[in-house]
Amino acid sequence: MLNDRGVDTMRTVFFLFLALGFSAGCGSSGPGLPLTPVTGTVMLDGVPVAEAKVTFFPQLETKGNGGWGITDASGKYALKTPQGGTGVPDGAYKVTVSLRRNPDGSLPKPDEPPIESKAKETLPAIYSNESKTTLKADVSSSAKQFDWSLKAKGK
Amino acid sequence: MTLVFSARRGFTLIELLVVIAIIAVLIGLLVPAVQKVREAANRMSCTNNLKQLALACHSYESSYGRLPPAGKGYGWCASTAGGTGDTSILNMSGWVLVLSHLEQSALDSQLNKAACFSNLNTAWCCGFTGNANGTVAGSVTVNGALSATVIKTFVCPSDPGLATVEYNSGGGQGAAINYDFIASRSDSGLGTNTNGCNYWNRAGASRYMFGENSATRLSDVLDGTSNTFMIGETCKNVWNGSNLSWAYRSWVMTGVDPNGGLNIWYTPTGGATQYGNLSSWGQAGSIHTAGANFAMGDASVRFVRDSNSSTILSRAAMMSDGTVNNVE
Repeated sequence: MLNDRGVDTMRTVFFLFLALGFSAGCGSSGPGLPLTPVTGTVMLDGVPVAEAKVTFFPQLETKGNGGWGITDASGKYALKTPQGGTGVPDGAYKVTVSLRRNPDGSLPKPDEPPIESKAKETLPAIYSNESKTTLKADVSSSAKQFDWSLKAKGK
Repeated sequence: MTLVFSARRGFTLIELLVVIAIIAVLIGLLVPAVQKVREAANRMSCTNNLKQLALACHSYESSYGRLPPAGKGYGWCASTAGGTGDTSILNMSGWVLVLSHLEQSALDSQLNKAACFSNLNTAWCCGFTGNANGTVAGSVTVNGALSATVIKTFVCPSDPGLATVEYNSGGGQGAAINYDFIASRSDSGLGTNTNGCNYWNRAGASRYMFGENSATRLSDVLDGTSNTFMIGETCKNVWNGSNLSWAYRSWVMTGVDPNGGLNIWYTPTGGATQYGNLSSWGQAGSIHTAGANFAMGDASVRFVRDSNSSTILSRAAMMSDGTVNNVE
């Protein structure tokens, strides 16, 4: 048989679990968009380009905010979303490939804001300028490798 | 005897531990709750500021028949002599014209609207050309000094960012603003390098409600004022470029352009994402979780989620592109 004190203990234990139950309900995060991992290479006149920035701009009904990747020494890139996810959502994209260099030919420092940097674009505008680019990509689960063969003189 | 003793005995160790555990759990619940309440209050005050600004724009519209421009007389956009640039370089922000509708008449009367608000007449750097068609109007001294005035309605209390503007006006550093007109980044004239000034006049169907020398009537908003972004929220910390001033427009300080997405934060190479530090100029964002506030053309304020894609956001910014607003 429970005396008064036993009932009190049971009650406090009950409230303890109730409180724990409430606190366990906090902290969840919404699901993100499904992403397709996109990779590829950038070649300029047949030579791999290192440190070029490949940017995918979403078009038409494409979801998300696009993505970008930087090429390594063998010209390979892999896209990331601005939030750091791997790949981009499926859909149509306009693509730019940009390679900026300082007047002395060196690469700009990675943490120098581009808008305040003296570095200039070295690739033709039909690849590097968002409003003039001719590069396009349709990303889907069957198309996730995009290789760009660029020519230094444009066409 | 034993009964009397047991009835008067103190707490057992278990009981004490249970009580301590309960107190610990309650404190654990309460402290984050207090922080949340503080942010909720700041957020409400932030939303209210935006509402005040939207109403002030409507009040301006009822006085003059048109909404204020995002700015006047940009000196840092590209223009050849005889080109699209304004002949008188003022670098004035449209908020200066709205001050008297925000109960800031005293400040309004001290500003000299015939003189420039920033004396920049070239691009900031890097071989971009400035407005070669204009000359700087008057001296920046008076307006430059007054631009440091902090006006509470222009500041979102949730944002711990810089209180001053990164780019100097020539007459001093202005006070930062958390809200700005929806204007296209193309207002900067970047990428044209010949005649980029007054882009709004040439924007056609992709016109936003504001731009350099814009003069939108509410009846021009064919997509419906309740569907079109009018004023957007932005952050006081910006990595690539500058935050915004209520008084002047300087190199790439065009306004807020939701195209490109909300809350796109700067991540240094090999470092952690810097929440509250926007990755580039002209972007919309806030540190309220998962979105930012926007005032629509009808002066209603909406919390727009950062899960919206760039294409949907830019359609909501264009005032007469004829597409349905799917913003969530």
